[in-house]
Amino acid sequence: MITRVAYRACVALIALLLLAQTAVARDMTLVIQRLEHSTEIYVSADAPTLFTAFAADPTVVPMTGPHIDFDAFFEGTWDVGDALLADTDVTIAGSDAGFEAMSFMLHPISEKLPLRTRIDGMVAMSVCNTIEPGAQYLLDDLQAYVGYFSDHGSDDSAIEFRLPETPHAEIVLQVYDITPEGFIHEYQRTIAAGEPISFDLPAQPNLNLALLSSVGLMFLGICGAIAVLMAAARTRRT
Amino acid sequence: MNNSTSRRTFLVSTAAMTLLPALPALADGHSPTVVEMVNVHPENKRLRNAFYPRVLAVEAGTTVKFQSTDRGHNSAAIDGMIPESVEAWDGKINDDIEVTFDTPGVYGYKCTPHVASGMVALIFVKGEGMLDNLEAAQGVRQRGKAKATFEDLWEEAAEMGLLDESAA
Repeated sequence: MITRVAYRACVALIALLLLAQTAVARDMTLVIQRLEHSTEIYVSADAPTLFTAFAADPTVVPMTGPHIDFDAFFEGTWDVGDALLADTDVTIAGSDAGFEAMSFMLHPISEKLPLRTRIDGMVAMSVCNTIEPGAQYLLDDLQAYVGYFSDHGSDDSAIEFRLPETPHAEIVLQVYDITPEGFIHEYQRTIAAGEPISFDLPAQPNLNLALLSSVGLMFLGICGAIAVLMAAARTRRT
Repeated sequence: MNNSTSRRTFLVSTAAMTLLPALPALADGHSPTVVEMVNVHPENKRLRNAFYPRVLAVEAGTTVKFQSTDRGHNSAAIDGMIPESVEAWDGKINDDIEVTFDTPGVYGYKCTPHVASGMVALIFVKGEGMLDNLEAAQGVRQRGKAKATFEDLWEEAAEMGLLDESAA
């Protein structure tokens, strides 16, 4: 009886966890590629959420009537990306980062593309993967992908976004923060209207201190072993 | 009889030996040099949406074929990055385009939808005055990742010795 109850509780817990995971995936994803001399950021969300979070006017997206004009994307879509970020301040280590959009792209929500790495971002925002011309989609049915580039290196510096103070519901942001060496740090942030969001890498352990501690411990161990051996020898003599 | 045959054989073989090495060069004069437009650079998988090769040096009069190996790309001259007297080219998306480079100079070009993602490249057309428009080309304001890509390309060109006056 108890086993059955425990089993049901486990199933319910797993279902809840899965639901929570789905809820996170529905909000927004952000990939930060930190490099020595530059920084790249890729953002994805369903189009209405993205335009709401950045308080941007969705009519900057080329449209024919209510439908997206995918043919027009071949003229370049960085102006859409720039318009999205126009009222948002982005800094790296407290200085203006000067991010410029590389590209903006839309894909059907039912055919979302993965976004965990820089390469994922480059593929997803790329216009050459566009929907076939003639397909009719409304903005609300599409997942947006946008990429930004700054020629400011970020290494382990804090990157801060200050979004416009437009009221909206809290948005959960899944972050993949990638170091210049390629280590991916996953964490979440919540976007609340008008509040700054900071992206920091976890503090690196102090290697010198760790090395010193190891040597000290080894020295103590050797001293201890010698003391034990000497004590044993004395006991045998007596 | 024997003498004349061996003399003829000697003349024919000498002519053949002289002309044979020149045949590929003659063929080159007619077949265009190819620049591929690709989604993934064949020699560096980290480079997405790229021209291959990204830096090319050709003799004046060479025809370059921009080949749409992958879909979604084109080749178009960048304003201010070609010699003043030359007419700019602007290929259509997904179309191959052939451009003949008669005027020595530095030529910067782009893929229109991918320029801000860094899909840009350089062609150096050898001859007198090849570097006359170098300063103007380097001074053009680039947007997004194109700026960083061009820095790499100028460096690559310097390593190839193309920025030396003697390279022309």
